[in-house]
Amino acid sequence: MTKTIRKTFGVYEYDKEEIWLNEMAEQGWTLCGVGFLTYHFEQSEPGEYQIRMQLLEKSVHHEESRKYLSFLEDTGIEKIGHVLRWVYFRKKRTGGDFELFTDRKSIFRQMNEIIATLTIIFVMNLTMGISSISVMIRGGHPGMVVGYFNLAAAAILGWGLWKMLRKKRKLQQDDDLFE
Amino acid sequence: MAAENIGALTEAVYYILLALFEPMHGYGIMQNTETLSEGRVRLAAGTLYGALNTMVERGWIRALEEDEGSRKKEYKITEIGKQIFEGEWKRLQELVDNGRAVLEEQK
Repeated sequence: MTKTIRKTFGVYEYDKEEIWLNEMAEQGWTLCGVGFLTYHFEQSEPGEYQIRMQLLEKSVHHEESRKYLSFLEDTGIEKIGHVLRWVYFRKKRTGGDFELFTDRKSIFRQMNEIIATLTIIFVMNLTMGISSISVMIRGGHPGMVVGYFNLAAAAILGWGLWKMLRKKRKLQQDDDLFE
Repeated sequence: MAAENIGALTEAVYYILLALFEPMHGYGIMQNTETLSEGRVRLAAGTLYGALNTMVERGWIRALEEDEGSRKKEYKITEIGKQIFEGEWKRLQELVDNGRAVLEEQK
């Protein structure tokens, strides 16, 4: 049996998304396909699988990404699907927890990738918002009201970014103490 | 390149080098590390992949020619890698020796 759920997560809410997907797996619904804001689940043993997500540096079809994905596959990790550069993985729970990264340095690299991507979208929305609104204020096209949406998006993204940076700073403190 | 003073290796890198005294593919390294450390050190595939690539670039390990029909790449430690490992092993030895000396004095 399968089911499809439509659900929205902000781009900075990937950890929430991952927790939700793992809660579903705990309840016996394992992710088997993804699309834009769409999740497909199949019935499985509760807790049989664990889910992880990763933002790749390059497109999924890039040579480097393909090498990486086939390396993961060789270690028993199944790629479920992807949305843009976000890839969804699952692995049967055998022995310990399924993690993609186990040391601080590689966790940082992943965080930096997300922060960089968020920053680009943030700056784009901010500049588009400001320029649209200033055109409108100077008596330009009223359609430029869309600028307010850009500004709203920038505010949400900015908040997400701030939360990510705070999380990173906390982790960085460990760097002073541990190899 | 001699085993210069490059600071401490991460546990991941130490165990990867140790595993690769024998040719091994990625999954083998993960299992080997977990067994040797009795489950304490676990190498996730993403972390291992990044470390392997960097170590190949540095010439500490090398990828072996792939057998036909086998998709999994095997790696082996190089002479430079062995020097790096030995340097680290000596550094750890010094830490342990000094720690032991002080602790035994306390008893």
